[in-house]
Amino acid sequence: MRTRLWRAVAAFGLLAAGCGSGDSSAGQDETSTPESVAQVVEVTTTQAGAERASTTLGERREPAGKVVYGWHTALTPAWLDPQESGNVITAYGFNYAIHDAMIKHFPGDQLAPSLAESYEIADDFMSASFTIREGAKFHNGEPVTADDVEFTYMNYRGTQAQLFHDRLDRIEKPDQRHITFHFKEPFLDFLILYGTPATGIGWIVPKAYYEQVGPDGFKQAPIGAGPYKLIRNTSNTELELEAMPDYWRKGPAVKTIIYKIITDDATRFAALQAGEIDLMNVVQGQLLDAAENDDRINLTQRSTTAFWLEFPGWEKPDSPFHDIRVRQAVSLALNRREISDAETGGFAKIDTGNWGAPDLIGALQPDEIKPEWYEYNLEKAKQLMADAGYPDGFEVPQLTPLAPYYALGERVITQLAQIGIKTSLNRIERAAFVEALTKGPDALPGIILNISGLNGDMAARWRAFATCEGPSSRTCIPELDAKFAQYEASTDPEERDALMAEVQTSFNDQYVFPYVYTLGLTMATGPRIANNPDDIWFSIPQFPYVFPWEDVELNP
Amino acid sequence: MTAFVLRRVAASVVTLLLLSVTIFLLVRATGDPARVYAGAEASEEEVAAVREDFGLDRPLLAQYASFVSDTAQGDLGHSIQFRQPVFEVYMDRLPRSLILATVAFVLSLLIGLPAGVLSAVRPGRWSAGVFRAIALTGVSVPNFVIATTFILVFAVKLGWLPTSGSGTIKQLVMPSIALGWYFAAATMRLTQSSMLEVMRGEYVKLARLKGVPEWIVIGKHALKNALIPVLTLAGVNFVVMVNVAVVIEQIFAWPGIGDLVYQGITLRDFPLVQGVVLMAGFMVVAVNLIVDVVYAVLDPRIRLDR
Amino acid sequence: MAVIATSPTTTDSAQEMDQAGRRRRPPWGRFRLLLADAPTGAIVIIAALVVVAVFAPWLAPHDPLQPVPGALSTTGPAWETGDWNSVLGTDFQGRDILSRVIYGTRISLAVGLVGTLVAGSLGLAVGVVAGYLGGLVDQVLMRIVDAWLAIPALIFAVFLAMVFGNKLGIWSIVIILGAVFWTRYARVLRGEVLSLRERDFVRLAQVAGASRWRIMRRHIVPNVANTWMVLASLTVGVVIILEASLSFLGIGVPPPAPAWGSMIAEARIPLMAGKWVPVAAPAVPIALTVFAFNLLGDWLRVRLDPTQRNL
Repeated sequence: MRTRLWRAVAAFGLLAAGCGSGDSSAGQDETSTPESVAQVVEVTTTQAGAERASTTLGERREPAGKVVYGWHTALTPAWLDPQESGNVITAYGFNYAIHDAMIKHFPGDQLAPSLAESYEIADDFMSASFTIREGAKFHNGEPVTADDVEFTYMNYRGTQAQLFHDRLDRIEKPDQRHITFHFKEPFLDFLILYGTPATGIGWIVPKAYYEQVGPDGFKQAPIGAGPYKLIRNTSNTELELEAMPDYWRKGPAVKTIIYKIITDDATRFAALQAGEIDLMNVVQGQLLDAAENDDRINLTQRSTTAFWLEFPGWEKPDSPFHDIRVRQAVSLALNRREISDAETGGFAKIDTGNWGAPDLIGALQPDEIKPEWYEYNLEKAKQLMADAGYPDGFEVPQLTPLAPYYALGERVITQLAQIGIKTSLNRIERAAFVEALTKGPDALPGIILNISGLNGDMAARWRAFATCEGPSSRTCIPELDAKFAQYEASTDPEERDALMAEVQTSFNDQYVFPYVYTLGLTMATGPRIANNPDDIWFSIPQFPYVFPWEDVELNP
Repeated sequence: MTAFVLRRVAASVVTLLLLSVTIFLLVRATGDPARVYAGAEASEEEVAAVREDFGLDRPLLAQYASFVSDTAQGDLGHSIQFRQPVFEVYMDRLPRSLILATVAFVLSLLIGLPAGVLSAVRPGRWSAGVFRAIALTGVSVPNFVIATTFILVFAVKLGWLPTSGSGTIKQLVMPSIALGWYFAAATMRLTQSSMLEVMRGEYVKLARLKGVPEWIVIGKHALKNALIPVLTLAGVNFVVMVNVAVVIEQIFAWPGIGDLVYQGITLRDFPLVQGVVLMAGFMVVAVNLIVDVVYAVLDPRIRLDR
Repeated sequence: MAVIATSPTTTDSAQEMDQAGRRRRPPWGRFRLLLADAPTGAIVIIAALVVVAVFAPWLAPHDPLQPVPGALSTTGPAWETGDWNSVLGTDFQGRDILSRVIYGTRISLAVGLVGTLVAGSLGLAVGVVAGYLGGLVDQVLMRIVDAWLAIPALIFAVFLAMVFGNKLGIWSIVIILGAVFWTRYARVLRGEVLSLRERDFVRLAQVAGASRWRIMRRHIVPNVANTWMVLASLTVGVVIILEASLSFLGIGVPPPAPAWGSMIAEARIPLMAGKWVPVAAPAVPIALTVFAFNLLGDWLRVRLDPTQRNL
């Protein structure tokens, strides 16, 4: 655990430095990278049996002005309630403004105390203690207390709730500023699950208010302890947030933030060009040229998480994909450079090689990735197909991509045609896809093009997609399942680390989930924003949207 | 007369019942919302718990029975996604759809009425041709092309209008034109038919025989009578506009009914979709009922027809 | 565009009126005469479309499904790039736009015409049976029709698309569109049949002992053919446009098939970046097609059925 966390965060520093090159921010990134690694060293070496404390308190200022944020998905009110946090990162795009967590990542400072002033994880992973920050307040003026932290934990119903509730032995509250969770057994993953967007249980809600308005009422008018307070929600299509001048870290500079939901990619971009929005999520690949030519717009690009292919039913001998040579040929036939060029103008990474991105805790790190996992070699692919007995290829019923990545699916189909694998696109929408995933290998025959934004660590992803009993899994390799069961049972961080690396490597060596390429996201900043875009976009791992809001400033 | 009205009301109730069965079954044919809301990584037990929460574990007949009885008492259920009573969500969106549809409706009349009148009385003239061409363009070009072009030209290039959103009059201009234009051709056809019918009427012939100038014949006698059916039947179009602006609402980020029901379908929000489609159907059936009854009052022959 | 509508006087003389003010249908023989003032422009366009559809493989310079060698993504038209190999440039996958538009004629016409035929046949059958048999059958069928009509067409289509998915490829969209539109035919035709049923020639046939099916087939159907034609010609355009709208929502004809609607939907995003050719290339033929069918429909309507308001 120790080493892996360290490596995960170090990789993030690398990512940040790599992407900053080429523009004015490069220098700044280079200076910040050693710092973040140093910070991480501190976190990880002290994670077990250690304290983390921070007393930084920022400036106070009079907030002014308005920033409009163009949001790209329809808003689900449940996203405003961390108590029901699902596994989608999108929800945190709102949480990071309205709510606050006991522990969260800050730029260059992983797992930093936030609403907690300090925390301590016991040597034996049997307890976690927190001191609540003095002066931390909810939007209604009530102080954040140990009762609120306890209520949040006990009442949490989001992802992994069962695990937290099962592991808890008792809660100790000596006073309203101190709280300790005691566990029934060593809880190695506690810090990762409690302090990252893996779950929402560390995001504190006000007990009295929550009980008064109930879960549904809370979603209509949430109250949190974050830097901004929700003051208007127009039909879930426009949110108005107002600055909390006495937010503990520092008073926000901008008085009003408007989240404007514009789901249409073309309209959202038009609104940016027309100056109606200042910050914009997701510039569609085909608009990159136009955005680059517009000198009022600043782009920030980052590769996030990987696409992979699946062959449902490959374990059966009659499946053409049963032969490892065929699976490898598929991987070799993917011209990843071409995909990245066409979809993202070439910036998206094509060499992370694994179906979990390296900034995902527990995922293989760049030095553990074998080049053959992302090699492009058409001749070798054709040879392997011939060796496997398919010199002329074969037909596959369909290729189903996760919505909305139909265009990528079409591209993969075109490339597979080069080694004789002929298929057509099965275009189904997201809800149907998610449902079909859980119905075993026969629900979506052929090939699946998948990607996951599941937060947390690689183990969570493994559990869902790659174990025999995994709810969304269509794959079963008993040997690896046994290894993973060992991982789940182990309480030794080193051993867990090694096991997780081993299952991933073996999986990739067998080309069970061939790597396609790493999704590249482009975010846009308009001319009114004073910040360096790299400081507010992708500023923390696993989170592609704007953070921290209290740092956002407008040009005079 | 009373018997006729009662028969029509009864038929309307039966229609709504059939609509409720249809929509009830249709939403359930689209898949299982429990899996969607529990997430891809949720275990079967968690999904089953969600299903129970939504009341979807009960037998279909029981679900349908409570759907109908709740609806009859004015309760459209609770939206899975919005965590609010469906009726509240609906009423929150309805005013915006009504505004959009009203302006679009007026625009469709502004194009469709002159096009229809001219086509009826001055066929072959260039003025009729121009108006017809304008009206037919609205149905011939997909409205998402029209809408995107509008945004590019009037919002980005010229900067006259905001790209999207709702709340101000300026924001209403582009979506209402894009929506109303599509319906102009329908209005044109209605007007043309209606005018042709009226122009054949005895009193128009009489007026002509008496030497009344043609433009007075058309403007005063014919148009006045032709407008009644046009406006009543166009009422149905208005109802359709309220409910069907899915594409326009998405492009212009206009929070209306079409966008709501589309979101509901994609997210498998059964109660929301059932409620909204039922409300849409209710409007259509109600308007048809009113039109039927009004016509029957005006023209007793119709009563025998049905 | 030359002759869009005809004057009411010609219509009057071409058709006799009965006592109730309803005009009698012109017999089949007169149909040819009516073609005299047909909208030539529309007919030429439709004929050209059919030619393009039939000869697509000979007309298209490239494979519509595979990228032009060397092209990865959208390239400009020849007058910008100077590359006359791809006259209209390539789409976001590097495929030749012109070739896709040419092949797209097949798909869009097939969707429009077959969708209309499916809707029209079902609607005709239900309308005639309900109208002629009357009674409980009529009541039940018409209540179903009313209930289905009360669901907005686009929303109904979205539903069906999600239920069926695209298991049948382009045919699922045809079936969906047919399923959505048949109710309109049923309602209008049933109204016609109700009055036909009372007419002398039907009565005579009944007295002569003709079976109900024979009467429907021989006497009723031919007499609602005019209305059916008008409805059908107007539906083709609606169906094509609705398919395009479904493509915008991501549920139209599944890729990589080159359907005009999905081509426009895919190219709409680059339009915002000023690349108008990829949108215009399929949008112009779609507009021409729908315009032509509308002109044809309007002409037929005025010619055959001028006062039918519900069309």
